[in-house]
Amino acid sequence: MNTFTVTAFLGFVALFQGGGHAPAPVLPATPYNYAAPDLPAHFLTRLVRGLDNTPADNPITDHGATLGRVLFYDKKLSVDGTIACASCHKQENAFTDPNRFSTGVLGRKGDRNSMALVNLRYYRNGRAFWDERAKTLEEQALGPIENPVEMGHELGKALEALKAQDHYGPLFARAFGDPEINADRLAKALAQFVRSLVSYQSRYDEGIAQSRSIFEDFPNFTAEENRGKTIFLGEHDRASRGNCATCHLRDFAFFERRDQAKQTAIFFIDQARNNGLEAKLVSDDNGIGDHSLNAGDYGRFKSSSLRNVEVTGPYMHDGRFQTLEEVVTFYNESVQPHPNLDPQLFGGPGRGRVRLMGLDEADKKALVAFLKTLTDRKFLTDPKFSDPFPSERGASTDVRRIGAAP
Amino acid sequence: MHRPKAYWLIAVMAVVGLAGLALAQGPGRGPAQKKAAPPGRERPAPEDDLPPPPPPRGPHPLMVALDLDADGELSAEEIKKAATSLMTLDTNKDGKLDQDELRPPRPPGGNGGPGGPGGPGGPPRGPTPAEFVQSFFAYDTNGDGKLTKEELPERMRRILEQADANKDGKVDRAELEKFAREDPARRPGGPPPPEGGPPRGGPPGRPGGPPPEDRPS
Repeated sequence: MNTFTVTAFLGFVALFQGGGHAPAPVLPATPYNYAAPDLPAHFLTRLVRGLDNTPADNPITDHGATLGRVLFYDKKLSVDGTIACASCHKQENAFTDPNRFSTGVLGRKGDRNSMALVNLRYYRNGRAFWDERAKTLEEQALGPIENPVEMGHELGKALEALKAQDHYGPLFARAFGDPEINADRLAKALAQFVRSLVSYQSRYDEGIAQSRSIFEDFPNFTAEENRGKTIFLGEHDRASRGNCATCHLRDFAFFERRDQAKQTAIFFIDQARNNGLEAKLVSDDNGIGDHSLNAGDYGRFKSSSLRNVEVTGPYMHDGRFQTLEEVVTFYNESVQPHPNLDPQLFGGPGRGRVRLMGLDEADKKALVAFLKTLTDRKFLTDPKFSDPFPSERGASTDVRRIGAAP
Repeated sequence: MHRPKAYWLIAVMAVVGLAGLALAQGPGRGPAQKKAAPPGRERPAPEDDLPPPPPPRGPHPLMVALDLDADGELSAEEIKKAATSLMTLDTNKDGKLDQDELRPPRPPGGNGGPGGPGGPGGPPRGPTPAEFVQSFFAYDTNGDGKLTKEELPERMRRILEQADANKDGKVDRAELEKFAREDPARRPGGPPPPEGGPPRGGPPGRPGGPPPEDRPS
């Protein structure tokens, strides 16, 4: 399915060209398989299926996600035609931006790091954005289009821009049964594509498949990676230093026997939490607190999946840490006693009784080595998630020129 | 590391005669956590036969109170001191521990009343209204006792609309404290809270109104 068939592509392109005002997307004659990826066993358990936030009225279809892919890469959704979703969510970076803050239309900068889009389908509460202000991925999908520092458009005008492109009528028709282009369908198609971004082919996944239990050494891991895994799981010493899995491998902690871990696929924290980045209750960015205004929500942020974390830096909502080593060092020695600090980070001795990992340098290095086994090169290069538009040389120059304006 | 804690907790509760007290589960724990997997099963059934287990739970106030050296275990000495340690939870000083005192603390405005900040060596209690006000007034850069939109970063300004009871465009300490003491669930409008709610609980609900439009994702 992932084989790039140039001949078929060219034939399909011919269908789209003739009267369009912009380059048409290059798509396979038979759509890629988005609806039923060949997921491994640890993604097919009851627990993992139970995490899936796909709504009944917007299941992933091959044609729907194909449309979503085209929209995701289409700069016409921005007011000046320079920014697409993919501008700040780059495939090679697990659909985040390697820059601390992304550049939107007219050179405007945000003040949060772009979120990685990995396995969002399995974020149980379905909410989106660092502050979870969108209840669903469908709701989230339209937000950046009208955000002044991102795509800066008006939704109605963005829809008109799509209608002016000849290729969208057939794409919407295939996805939804008729060629009508509206905001609901735009949101649904984008959400389908984002939910299709499932990463499951890392070396970690290969190791799970070759082992009876997550706890035993994986044959495809180095000794250091296995050591890091043990630290991640909190099994390497009596104090369970590390123990990252309690939060980052949702529902992992509930097993009846050591070899019966129930959930080994989804590296999400189950809900927005406060990880002690700040000691003060209120700071310049308070995540959920700034829109819920509940004191208990200040400093709570959604976090991204750890899958592909090797390539998603910089890290945290404000991109304050450049490297994984810095992140590990933070949890090792710098977590702050915020009044809303998550209970899982609480209970240690010393300052504010914050629980710090206390790993030595070798163990910190091992933990980072394990985290890098979650990198899924196939996901990062899979053509079905790639830019369908022919490359436009000189576009980046235009962005810089426009960006100098206000 | 969590299971031993849970076992110790159960044992100690029996010792001090609190076995009948249900461990309050933080509000907003999602619907997926209705039942724990049956304990003591010799041969675990296939996973699909089991209901989804509850998610990780933070340290319960009981455990925090009893585990004096915070090592995650209760020593014989700590158990011996349990009766005294438990009374540190008696926030209303009536000599008894009621459900509210044993429940994970709520944010301000909850029906448990102000819980008091976690002092040095204390557990994370969640912020009190006073702490909330104090934290915000660090932004009162001209020191006039009133917060204005010019003093707050843009993404924080929403509270000015919500807490400005006299609609003078400014929020003073009394207005902010009154706002902080309100039950968030009773504030007008707004979407329901996200599944799970605050990690340590708190009343559901959030005030309405769209967030500022220019915050990045």
